Amino acid sequence: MTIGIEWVNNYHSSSSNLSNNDNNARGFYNRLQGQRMFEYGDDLAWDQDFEEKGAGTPPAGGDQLYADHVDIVFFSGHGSRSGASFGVKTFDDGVARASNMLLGNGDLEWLVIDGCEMLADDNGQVFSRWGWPTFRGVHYILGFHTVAYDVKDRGEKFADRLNQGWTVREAWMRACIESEDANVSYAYLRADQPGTDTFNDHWHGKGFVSADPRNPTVLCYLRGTC
Amino acid sequence: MPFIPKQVYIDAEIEERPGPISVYRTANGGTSSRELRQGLLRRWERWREVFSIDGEATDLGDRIAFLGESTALEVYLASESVWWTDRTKAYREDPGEGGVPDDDQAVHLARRFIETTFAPAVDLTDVVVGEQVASVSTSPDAEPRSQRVAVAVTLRPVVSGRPVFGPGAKVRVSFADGAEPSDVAYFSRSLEPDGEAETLHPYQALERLRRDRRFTDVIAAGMELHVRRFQLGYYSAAPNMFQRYLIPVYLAEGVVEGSELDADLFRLYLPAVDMDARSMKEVSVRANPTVLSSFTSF
Repeated sequence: MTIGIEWVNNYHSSSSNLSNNDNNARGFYNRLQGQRMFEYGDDLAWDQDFEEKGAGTPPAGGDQLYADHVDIVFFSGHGSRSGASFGVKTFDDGVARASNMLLGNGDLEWLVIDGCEMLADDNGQVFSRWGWPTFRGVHYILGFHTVAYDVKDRGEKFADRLNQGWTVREAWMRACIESEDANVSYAYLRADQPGTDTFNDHWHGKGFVSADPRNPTVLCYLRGTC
Repeated sequence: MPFIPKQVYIDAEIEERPGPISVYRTANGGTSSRELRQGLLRRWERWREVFSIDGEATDLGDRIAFLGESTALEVYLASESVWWTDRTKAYREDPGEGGVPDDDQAVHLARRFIETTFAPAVDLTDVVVGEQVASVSTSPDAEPRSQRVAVAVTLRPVVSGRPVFGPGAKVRVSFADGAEPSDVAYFSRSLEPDGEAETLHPYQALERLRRDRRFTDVIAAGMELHVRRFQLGYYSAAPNMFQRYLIPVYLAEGVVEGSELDADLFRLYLPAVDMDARSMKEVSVRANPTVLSSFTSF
């Protein structure tokens, strides 16, 4: 039942600053029932914390100590089709890229990217961009098909519903519907294989949790208008 | 001659003389905690009956919620909002046997349902039709299969001819299996008129946009703000947030050109009435009136 968060408001002139990602991520961190493992914000939040050791150029990844060392990790900041954007580029290139992520070969079950367009459908290209290369035991990647806006309270809304016993997918969709307008679309990708049932995943201690799909045979994607 | 700030480009129609704007306070703005609570219990009983909920609810403080195997109902304390869900049909990954209505049908069905169930006191004239699409991939080499599994109709209120923005003014009805709704989110506040207030000139608001801390660094780095929508209206906070007044705002949407992101889009609200800190606090929501210049959410 372990939780980690990273958030960025200060982008050091590379893109517009944001205002609410600290509150958004901390709302999630402080409300979800479980063991808080790490919080890194602004210049202490790094893309390499989400990337596989040895993957990409430079091969700076260290997810075995951070993102892939907890059950759920929540990132709040800028995003794009390329990945999650960070304000610091000192150690890596400042973008946590799908091509550098192998998730779930450690501990991670659920990755939440509360930022723009990471899960843009693009007529099914989302599967090749994020799906097959990335899923190594992780159950879900939750995020957005479209842009998403800089809100303060989506994290706490998500956490509250996980605590209440909604499934992980329902909790994310409802948090998005309650915090965004109809020009925004939520999305998720999930993996399954014979013997797993991630569709019915709950937060630990709140209901059924599937076994890890280490060698997924099917990936499911859902997007919907908020 | 209006002053247009440097490095801010207006690609939207600007209403040059918006004039005074009507002010609306919420019906529960002056209500005591005890009355709020009694009101919530009354509304809970009403909606429990309407949606045939039979089971034990949980009091979560800011709402009463029922989460059953097949249905769910949430009734909020701070606004007249209610959210009902058929969990067997909403958010599904495959289409129901009854099929998904087309857009026109869905709008008709949603309007009929809202009129007969809620009888809203304000005009719900802004309509957006969205969808829920599911895709499945069975191997990296196979083409994924996609299908529309639900249609969502969102209706937004217009008050005194002005749109109401924000998450607290949204009526969303979705259909996943025939003509019966699968999910109904009715986020609304009862309003009472309370005079008029002078609005800021749009160019004054745009100057405040340029000075916003979100943009000071990128403007200093030579990037440009392109404003694509700039509209006067009201802001209604999330349904679980207490709010005394609908806040008159300019909605500013646009993009930062020159950013490292593919799409560095922004949408924020600039108070359209020049309020000092005391006024802002009096009409605001939550404990913190955030900032005087802009906000994105409470």
